[in-house]
Amino acid sequence: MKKSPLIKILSLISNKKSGRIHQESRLVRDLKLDSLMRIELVAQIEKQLGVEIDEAKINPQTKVEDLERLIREKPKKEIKFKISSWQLHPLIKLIRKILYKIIAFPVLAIFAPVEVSGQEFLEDLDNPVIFMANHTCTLDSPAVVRVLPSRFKNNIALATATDVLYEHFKWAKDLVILIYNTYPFPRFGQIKSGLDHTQELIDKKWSILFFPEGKESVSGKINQFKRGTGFLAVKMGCPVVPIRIWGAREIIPPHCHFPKKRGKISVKFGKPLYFKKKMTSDEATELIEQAIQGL
Amino acid sequence: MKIKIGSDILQIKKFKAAFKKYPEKFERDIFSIRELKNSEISHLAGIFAAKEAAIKALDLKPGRSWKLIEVKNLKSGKPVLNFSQLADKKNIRSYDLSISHHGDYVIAVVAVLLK
Repeated sequence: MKKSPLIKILSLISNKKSGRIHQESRLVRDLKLDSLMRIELVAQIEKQLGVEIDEAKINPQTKVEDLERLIREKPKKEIKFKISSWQLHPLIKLIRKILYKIIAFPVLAIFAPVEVSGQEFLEDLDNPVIFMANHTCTLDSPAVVRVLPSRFKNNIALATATDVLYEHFKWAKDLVILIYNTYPFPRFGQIKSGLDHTQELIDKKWSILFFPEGKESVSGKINQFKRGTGFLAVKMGCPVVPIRIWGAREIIPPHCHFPKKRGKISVKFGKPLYFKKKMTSDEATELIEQAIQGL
Repeated sequence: MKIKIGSDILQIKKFKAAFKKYPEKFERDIFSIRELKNSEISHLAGIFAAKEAAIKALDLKPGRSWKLIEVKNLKSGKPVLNFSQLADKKNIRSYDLSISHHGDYVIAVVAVLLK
């Protein structure tokens, strides 16, 4: 009889053969689930089954069948955030182009002139391309867009954390979408919706700007890349251009929202990377990480 | 007055593997931004053990409780708990926390004095 996905997950976490895990098995007494394994269990259920389980519902008396019931009763997470219907319209593209020229770039030039290198690597490329950069502060996106060749500058979409722009700063969402053409990409849990949105944009020949760390670096060092980075690169099948950014966090330091001083931002493009379908996402993530670190 | 106690022991190697595998889970649901600033893995393992020990001592349910309890270090290095939202609700008069590392293991003990 085919074992349920939950039993496979429990077998992986508890290191017990799935044949020895039954519906009446108690998670703590029989499978020896400790606090760390409980976290792993909840994370795996969310990742593999798309269901968020309240950890508080797992106690020493909980059996496998209780957990199966919780999973059945809990609806799968819905895709709450989508690409706005208007943001890709040619008229909006034109408005965005004008806003870049008359507001965004002149303001950027006052606080943070941008110096660029490596543009020769972009000469033979055309949309769609995925640009992946280290993340230092909110100036990263405008700095990169500022120095992209026109064919990319006017055709780029920015993957943006759903919990930040689409939830925390939702009052500013439409203005940011208008100016930067952002689209929602979850940082946590199931990233399927982010991948689907990216695929939709790439199919329409939009290029993507993506920050693999998922958040700004507080320490100044490059954070560990999200595991979805390599998956995205392999799945989308288009060139990935690594980018390194310096200088932005000195202008807007961590936990600040406004410039503290004027300074120069440096943007360096690296050699494009190409990924074969058979490459694993971990291998691809590592390659991209090395490419950005090496710039 | 009542004394309640909780403890937790953790193998740092297993914690490191879980943290590497599910960083988003730990960032979103377990650790605060301040706790994550010191990203040295054995330190984070100690914080995790301390939180679990506090959850046990206070008879809390895991899940939302992780983020209600914060572990920080005084200038002397002594770890302390910050759980102001819970202190009144749980009638906590005082408490103490101890974290100890030995090889690949870390253990945390929390003792709580209730009113």
